[in-house]
Amino acid sequence: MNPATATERPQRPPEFWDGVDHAFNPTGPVKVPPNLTLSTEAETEIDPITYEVVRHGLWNANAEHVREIENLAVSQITVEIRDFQPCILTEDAELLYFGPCLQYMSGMLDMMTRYILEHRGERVVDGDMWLCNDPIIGTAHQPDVGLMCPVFVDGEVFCWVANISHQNDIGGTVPGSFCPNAEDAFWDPPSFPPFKIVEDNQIVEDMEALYRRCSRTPENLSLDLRATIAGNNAARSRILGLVEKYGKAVVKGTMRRALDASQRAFEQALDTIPDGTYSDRLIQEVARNGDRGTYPVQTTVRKKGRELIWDNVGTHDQVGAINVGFAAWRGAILGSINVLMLPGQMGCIGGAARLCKFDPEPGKITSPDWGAAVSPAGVYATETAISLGNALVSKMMLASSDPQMRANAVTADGAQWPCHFVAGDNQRGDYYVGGMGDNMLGGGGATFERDGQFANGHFWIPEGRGPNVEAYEADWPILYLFRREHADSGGAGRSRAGNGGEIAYVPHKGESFLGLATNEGIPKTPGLFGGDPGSIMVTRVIQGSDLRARFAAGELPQDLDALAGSELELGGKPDGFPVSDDDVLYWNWLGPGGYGDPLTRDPEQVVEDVADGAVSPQAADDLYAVKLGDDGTVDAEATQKLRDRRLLERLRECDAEREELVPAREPADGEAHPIGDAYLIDREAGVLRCYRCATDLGPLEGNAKEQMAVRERPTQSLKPNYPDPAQFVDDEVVFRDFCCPGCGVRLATEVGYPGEAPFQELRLDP
Amino acid sequence: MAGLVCGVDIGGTFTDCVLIGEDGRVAYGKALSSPADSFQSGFFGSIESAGGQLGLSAADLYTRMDRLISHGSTVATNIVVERKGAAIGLITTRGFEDTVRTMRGLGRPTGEPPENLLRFAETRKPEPLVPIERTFGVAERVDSDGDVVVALDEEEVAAAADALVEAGVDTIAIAFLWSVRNDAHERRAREIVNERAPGVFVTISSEISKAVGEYERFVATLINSYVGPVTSTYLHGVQGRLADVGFAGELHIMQCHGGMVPLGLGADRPIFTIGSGPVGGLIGCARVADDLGRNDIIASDMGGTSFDVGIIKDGEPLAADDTLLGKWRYRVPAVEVISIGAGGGSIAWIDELGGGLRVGPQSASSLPGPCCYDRGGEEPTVTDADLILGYIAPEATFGSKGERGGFKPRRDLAEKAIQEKVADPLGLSLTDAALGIVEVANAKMAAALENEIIGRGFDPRDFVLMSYGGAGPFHAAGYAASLGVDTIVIPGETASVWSAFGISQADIRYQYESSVVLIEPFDPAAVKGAFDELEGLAREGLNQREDAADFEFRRFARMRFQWQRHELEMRFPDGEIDAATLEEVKRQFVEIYTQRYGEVALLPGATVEIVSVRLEPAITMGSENLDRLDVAEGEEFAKGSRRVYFERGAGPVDAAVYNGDAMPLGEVVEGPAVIDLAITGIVVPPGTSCERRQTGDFVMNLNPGSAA
Repeated sequence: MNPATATERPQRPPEFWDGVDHAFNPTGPVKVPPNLTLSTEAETEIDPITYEVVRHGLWNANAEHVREIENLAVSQITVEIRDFQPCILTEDAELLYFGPCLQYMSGMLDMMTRYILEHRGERVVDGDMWLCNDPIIGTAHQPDVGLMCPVFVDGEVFCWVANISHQNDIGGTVPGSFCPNAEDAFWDPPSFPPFKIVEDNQIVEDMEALYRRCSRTPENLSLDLRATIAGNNAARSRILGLVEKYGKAVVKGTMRRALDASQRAFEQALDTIPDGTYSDRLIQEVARNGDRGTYPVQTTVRKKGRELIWDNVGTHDQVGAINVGFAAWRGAILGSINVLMLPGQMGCIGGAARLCKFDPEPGKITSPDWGAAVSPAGVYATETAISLGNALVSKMMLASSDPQMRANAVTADGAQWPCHFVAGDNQRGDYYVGGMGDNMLGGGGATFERDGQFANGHFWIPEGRGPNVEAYEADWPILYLFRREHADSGGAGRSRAGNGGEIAYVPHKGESFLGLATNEGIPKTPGLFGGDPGSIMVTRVIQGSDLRARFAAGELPQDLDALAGSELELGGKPDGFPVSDDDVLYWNWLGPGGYGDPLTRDPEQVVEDVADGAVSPQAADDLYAVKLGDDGTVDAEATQKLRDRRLLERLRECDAEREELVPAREPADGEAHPIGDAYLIDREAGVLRCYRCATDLGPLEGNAKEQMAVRERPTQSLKPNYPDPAQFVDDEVVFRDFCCPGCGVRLATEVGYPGEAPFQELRLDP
Repeated sequence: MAGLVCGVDIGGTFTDCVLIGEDGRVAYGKALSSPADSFQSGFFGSIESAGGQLGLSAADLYTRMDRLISHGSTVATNIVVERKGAAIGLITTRGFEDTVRTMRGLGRPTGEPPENLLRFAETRKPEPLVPIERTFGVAERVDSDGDVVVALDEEEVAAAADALVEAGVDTIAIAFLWSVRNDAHERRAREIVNERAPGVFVTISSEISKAVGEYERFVATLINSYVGPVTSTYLHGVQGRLADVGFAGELHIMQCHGGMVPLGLGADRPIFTIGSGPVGGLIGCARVADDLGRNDIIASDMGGTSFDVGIIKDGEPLAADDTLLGKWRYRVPAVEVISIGAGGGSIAWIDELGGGLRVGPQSASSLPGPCCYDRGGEEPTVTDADLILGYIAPEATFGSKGERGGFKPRRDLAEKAIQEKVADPLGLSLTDAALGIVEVANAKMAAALENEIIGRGFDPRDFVLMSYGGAGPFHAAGYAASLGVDTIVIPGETASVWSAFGISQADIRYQYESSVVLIEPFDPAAVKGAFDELEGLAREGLNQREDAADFEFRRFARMRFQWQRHELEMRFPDGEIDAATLEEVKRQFVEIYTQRYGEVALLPGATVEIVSVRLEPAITMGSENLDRLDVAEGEEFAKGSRRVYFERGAGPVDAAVYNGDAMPLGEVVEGPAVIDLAITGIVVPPGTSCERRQTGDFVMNLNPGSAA
């Protein structure tokens, strides 16, 4: 953690965050022009039955909104990946209900709606809808298009319904609108601040024509626009039905009460979590094609009582195409809270948001000023924000005194979004843009007590749906060779993350231009409390292969290394290039980070992992140190001996050699407060201890890592096939293990620069 | 002269039978289901019990039977839900062995109530239907045009079959990519497997589903394999014994697509029996509504644990996009029945933070069941509220004769639970708390109905609502009113055997489907070719039937705007297909699309696409002049009155109480009233009325002032 986080930083006047030159980050009450009246009359005495009936009706209105978009939208990314999100907002843009679709969008719709109230308020009238995709105001990147609709009752703004949906193509330098070669916002697709696309319930034709002009697939854009209009119409009509039946004061009173309940739920959660500062950092690489730089991205939360203050201090200045709109960084955090901490609130997140302050540094990767390229955010920077938000929320949850809260913490999801975008004319001669969403299948994060599962989706897209191979092959000229579990890709740990997957495909009967491909050298997805990081993105292209000859010979090759042809050397964020029917393409999707030291994993589970093919025999030995007897079952004694030996070796490598390990203690009832099963908070002594052996790790407010045994090693030592980051970047980057100096168990890991001070991920208030 | 018609519904606890006599008289019987003898004694017991009502001996019964339709949906469903199916082996395209394990990344939330969608750490993917060690990939590959890219490696298929036999599998599923466009590899693989593993039940995916999208098709294939051996054994067992007792016809099997097929076709595809029970219920609804001259029906079946909803539009049950069974979603031709976790057993609880009264999704199920069942349940349920409010007759008997010989509800236990867990904490009276539970439960059901009806672009006010199931008619007026529905139909006495009744009225119907790529501008020859191919297959399939000439062929097409992922199924006109036909089909598609989603959803000039065509050869069956009436004789119709509660804050109403079985035809009861029935009761709120029609059904009018 950068010490600057906790100290004085320049205070900026509220008007600094204007949504024009700097991110829109409003504070205080909404400022509305005098001609626009907000409907605020709210009944406070609503009986518990009416409250529930109306509350459920509001939730259901949003569910119907989800369904309407599902039925009508055409963008594959919208429909299959659920890269859309409808919501209901109060008259002053507080998020009331939010659907089970893409979660980071939670921090975006309220921003855009508020911007409209404050900057377009004079012209907000009944029957209109506003379109906006401006990342400075409220999106992650330009393909995310918001559509905000005021709901009027008696001539006053009663509430808003709104949605955001990811468009297949909205322009920019690369088909699919993720532009990894963008130098600035002018290479990106156009950014539209809010304008009226619907007036008096009719699409404004000239504005639609203007909007369509930016896209390679304008018909898709128009159909999706209609889907989202229909969604807003459906939700608005349900809400007006409730108002008609129960009266506006009761419906508004119910909204207020549901939000207050969500606030209380969050307060109760926060009350179980020790005050302190929780932080994490990862190292982003290659700002755009041809670049070889590295760029730290950091998120920190200061938790004090019932308030959380989030900042991005320590994050690199905006650079190249690896930035993301501030609203999405904020949304990544709110989305993590929504799913991981408050799943029982069913998407009522506005009350919790009241307790979160966002205090970013401007001009950074996660809160860029106008001019920064952000279009590929959905592949790079959004996921770094999600992964870090996830890690921090989970750390807080693991420190909770509530066992259920601890059990629900999930390790960090992939810090990038691997994919390929191919485009061209398909087998029928139609122009297509194929954004491959296989990553949607996901790999679930681990909890401290339980492993993640292969293809268990992503926590932040609770109903996201992975594609069928046949659905892609039907519309795009490609042929898959395989799509399978990627062994060893889930972060190793005491609890192992679910594996990601890998695919190979070949262009087939059409024209394909590979517009976007993902690969990297530095592991970015953090492991939790001693777990390994998640896996890295790899793209391989074998050009001029003998695949077609092998097909003719009746083979269906599964091993790229066995193919003839030449492997293309790809740098980070390569420029697009055409691919042919003889080129074989491979990419993988990520496994999340692991939890805890793999050397403490139950050996029986390791044996099962190997039997299932989830873990390779080599990894079972390298990472988990499990010894099998002649009968193939675990030799418990030999395994323990081997593990003890490895722990002692490890301490020796850390220059913390000892004769024997401090024995594991017997956990007692009513003992000091645990953090997962990594640490104990000893308030009496004012220190943090190792959970396993109770070794003193220094004062609560200190950096426990400084008390630990540490060794530095190359990141490519994590997995046999990891590349040397030097292939992608000029800076040296290393992996560090932090171990308990008593028992040798690894309690923390990090990726960083050689020789730097240990990154402080946890500091508890004494 | 028509003979006897018989419908049998094998449920988890009871086997129900409906017999339609030569004169249209409807009789019914029940027997305990008998898994121990492959369901045979339950099957024959229920038929003979119904025969008794018609005064027919077992000897006469079967010889006079013209048609016998059965389904065993609960048998197959329970096998999947309880994970007691066959040991499956899977042979699939190499490189795609993990397809079914991925569950499209949706295994965790699938089948969960909305309340659990965000519970990432607390919900899990299920164990796969087939373990990876019994999954074999073989070299073969077909592309989206149906062209063979890699020939089938027959030796690998043989080796896989041998290995699976060695592993002791009961069934083998064969599922290859793009078999819907070219099934040659699957068929050849089946030949090889049949040679290597004679006697093993084999399923190929292209015969189970014609839908593009391998996950849903592969799952359907696996489920067919999983339930195949048990279902096949019982069906053939029943058929064998039927022949012994003199039944000369062929047993027909009810299918989830709403028709019945002969056993010869049905036995290999037991997956189509899954869900056919509720579908039978829908067919029964269509029949009753037809009698009423109504074509648009919301069918709602509220039982102890679930609320099942089906929609009939223009007399046709809506086709499902896919079918959900436990944690599995698959795609076969099926009638849509949506199941929501709400029922008499739904538990009421207090949301401490918001101070609201919530109901469900937790359910007391049948065990322990509601508190008033006195089986150890301690959480207040909807049924407990129904009892306190006077909806359930205090003298009612729960549970049929099979279990505990029937038992009386314990009002004291219901009162205690609602008082302590709802009324006291919320500061409500006992009856207001009970009314609150009912109101919230009704609102949730109404919202679920609203999603289904309005979500499809329909207006609920155009519909008549059918309500059945043990808990339904208590609540129907409550959940119908907020939808604007004005007419509710509660089936008469046959309600307790409703699925069996519907099954007896099913048409003979086959399904031929094919996925296609037909994009505007449509080529009439290509569209015709697609239907012709299906018709060729159908003619071949019907060849062996004596009544082949009686079949009508109905055409359907699934259409969408190009690139959309959601389609509308359209009835496709009979007769010649030329440019004008296609223009008309497109016009209808655009019209329906606009009707459902509004003018604003329409993009003029957008390209229309046909993604699949379906042909349904059918013979309309059903019985003429049904006489389902069985007014109990010698029983009093009016039972006096009891204290019934309708409105929070208001006191009890002294509501008239009637014995529904004895209700004369044409009689109209004005609310407030309760009509007690054998397995349920009809709550007739103030301001509404309920009439018994000539068919024996009860028809409730929610707005008696207006013309019904």
